[in-house]
Amino acid sequence: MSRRRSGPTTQGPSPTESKWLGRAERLLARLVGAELAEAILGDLQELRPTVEARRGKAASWLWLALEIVGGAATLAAQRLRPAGGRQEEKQSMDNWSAKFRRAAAAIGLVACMPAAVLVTGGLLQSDWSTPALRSALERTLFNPDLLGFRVLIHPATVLSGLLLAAGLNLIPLLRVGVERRPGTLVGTLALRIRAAHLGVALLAVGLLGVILSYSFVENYEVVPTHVDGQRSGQVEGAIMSRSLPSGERLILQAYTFIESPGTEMLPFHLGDGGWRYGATRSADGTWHIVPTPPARGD
Amino acid sequence: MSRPKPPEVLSRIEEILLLAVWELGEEAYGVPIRRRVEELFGRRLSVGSVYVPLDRMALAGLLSAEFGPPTAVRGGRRKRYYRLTAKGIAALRQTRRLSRRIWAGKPALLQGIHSPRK
Repeated sequence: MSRRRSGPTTQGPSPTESKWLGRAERLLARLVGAELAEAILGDLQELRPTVEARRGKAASWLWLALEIVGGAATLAAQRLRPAGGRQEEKQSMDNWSAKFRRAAAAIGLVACMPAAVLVTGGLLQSDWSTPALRSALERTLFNPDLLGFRVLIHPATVLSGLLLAAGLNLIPLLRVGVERRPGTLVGTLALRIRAAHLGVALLAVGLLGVILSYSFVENYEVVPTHVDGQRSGQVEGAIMSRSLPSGERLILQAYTFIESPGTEMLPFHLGDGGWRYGATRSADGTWHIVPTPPARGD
Repeated sequence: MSRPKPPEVLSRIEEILLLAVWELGEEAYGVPIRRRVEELFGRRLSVGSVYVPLDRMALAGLLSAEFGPPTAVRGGRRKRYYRLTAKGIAALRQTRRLSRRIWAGKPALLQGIHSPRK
């Protein structure tokens, strides 16, 4: 196209403006590729003097900035949207550079650390650990007086770190596809194998699974709501203590007995040599805890 | 033997962009194309509304794209010139034919009568 004329030659932008435009061009290049970004920014720069003549220099630069920001948003949205239903569009969840992806993996790994410390500390504090180790953990990690450790293993720190790590590292792994077929829209989700992101994402999801499983098991409690198919009444009590035949003292912090039709006593065992305890109601309506000794041969 | 694929039907913005490129001839690059399309639409268009369809049509072979020389007024950036290809012309004609078929037999609508014929 040698016969095409070049544009008019006027004074170019200042070094600061050139630097700013260079950054804008790099942003657009990520969205639409380097060649189209060059053409778009060149066109906007060519139009800017016209705007400057009408509205002044500051307004013209503001116009240029708004065009770039608005344009970048539209370009990003249009690239994600299938074109007119004629073709299949596959889009990675990320448009990140290799450098940014490495940073995401590193940030994810660091964000997993509080949860890793909490889980490891919990395991080392269990029964099979040594007393010295348990004592050391009590003095440091699980010491409520040490603010640093308290913040480190605070639920908010642990959970937000895991969610951040999982989010940052699942995005580069996922690829979303949308295909418009007559009368329907088909979506696909594909997983790419990127070792660093996959490792960090699995670590985050695994730690989250361990913490949630532990919380569930630790707080799991079966509460009977029906006895013999029908619940007709219940009694609740506060602290009650008795001496057990073994010489130990039994203290019930709280209890609930449920009365069912045809039964006044609902026995339960406490593992103290076969003794059973139940509730019975006296004539004045007061409920009592009654221990029953083990039957011979038990 | 499979039948040859018919030319594709263009969206309205694609049709207008291709016509603007044809009208502008040798000077069909971003700035005048956008200006012409804005004149036709009667409102301002965003950067993406013009450049994404242009790029898509260039990829589809409806347009050819070629860079011109860098210019100072553009900060040393090159213009991207577009030219209508034979495939683009066929798509325009196909779109025109379809438009005529759609409008055929509806003169009442063109005359300002809005209710459908009984």
